[in-house]
Amino acid sequence: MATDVERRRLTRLLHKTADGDDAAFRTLYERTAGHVYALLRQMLRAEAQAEEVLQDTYLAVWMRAGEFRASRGSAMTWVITIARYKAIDLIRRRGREVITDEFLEPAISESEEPLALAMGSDSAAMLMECMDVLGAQERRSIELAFFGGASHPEVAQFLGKPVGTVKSWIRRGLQSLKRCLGA
Amino acid sequence: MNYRDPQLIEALAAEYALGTLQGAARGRFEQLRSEREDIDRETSYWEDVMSQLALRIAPIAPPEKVWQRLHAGVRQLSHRNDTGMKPSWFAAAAAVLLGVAGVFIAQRLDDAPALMQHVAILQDAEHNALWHLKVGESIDVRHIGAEILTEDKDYELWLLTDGDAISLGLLPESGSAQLELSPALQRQLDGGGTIAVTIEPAGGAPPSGATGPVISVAPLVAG
Repeated sequence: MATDVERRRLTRLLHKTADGDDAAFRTLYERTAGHVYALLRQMLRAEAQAEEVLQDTYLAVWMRAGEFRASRGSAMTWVITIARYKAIDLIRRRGREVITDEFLEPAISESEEPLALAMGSDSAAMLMECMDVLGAQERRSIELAFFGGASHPEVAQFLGKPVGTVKSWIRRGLQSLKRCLGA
Repeated sequence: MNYRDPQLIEALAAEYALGTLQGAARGRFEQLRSEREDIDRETSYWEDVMSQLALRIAPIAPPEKVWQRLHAGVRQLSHRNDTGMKPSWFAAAAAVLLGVAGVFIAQRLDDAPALMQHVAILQDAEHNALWHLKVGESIDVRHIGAEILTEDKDYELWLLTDGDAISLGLLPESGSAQLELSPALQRQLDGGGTIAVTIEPAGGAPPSGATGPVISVAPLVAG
């Protein structure tokens, strides 16, 4: 199945990267960087920052490829996770202006791109469905936190609600998500 | 906090992966994750969920300059991570010097054993003659112009062949010297390769391999 083929391919590329194979590293970059960059542009908004974190991410991939454990998750997840945490770290360190509407709307497209579907076809589709059945406030809160890299206070400020309320929404939303996904 | 409560772990892991667990709490959780398999598994689960969310976004091709900077950075890191003699490090140095390296003359001496006798003049990058070598059952070295080093340093001669670097011994800073060769090394030198000279700590390079700058390189041409 396409999912498994691509997943195994990326795993192999990451393992070869750990061995210092820079051709494999390049291929890994070519097959994954587009998704990572798109996410960073969404979270960080500024192109220069997104480029900076993208570079830092793959430098970390190169240096820490030996830490990747295929038993724990996919190579794609591993790379995206490094990128997300670095982006959040940057947001927290540099601070930013009050987040606005644009943090929710653009660049979130229901991607039909084959690779995205191949990444986890069934689970990706299921996740979308499970997100849809969340309460509106819960879903918005999670999306703001995720796609905007927003903190609890930032989400609270954007929604005009108390931080405690927002924390509950996020916590309940995540619980529901897990139940829905059937893990 | 009761870190044995599965519901609590689930909640913390989810918020850690989402990014809303911050500050000291995040640091504490990271520590816990490194110590506890169950927490690591739960967190990996949520990280996978989050990355699925991320993949909903249509990909955007990054600018080419990012790859260029990345590639340059990666090469520098590989270079710095090399300890001792790695073929790539040496090959790079050798390639640089090979253009201006030693003159090599091979002569067959009829009454000599089956081994070729190779003669070489090792030069530095400015074409200054440093040593004269005669390579056969042993290596006869005659100093020509190599600079005298400080007490804490020595010149070391190496054979580079097939990704391996074999020390042939230390070179004299005046007069002559003879470097003994085992039969195996004699054969190997007979088969060709590249010889090179580095500056090492007194007594020669550590077991891990050459550490110092390459000051001369010459091809060993068999036959």
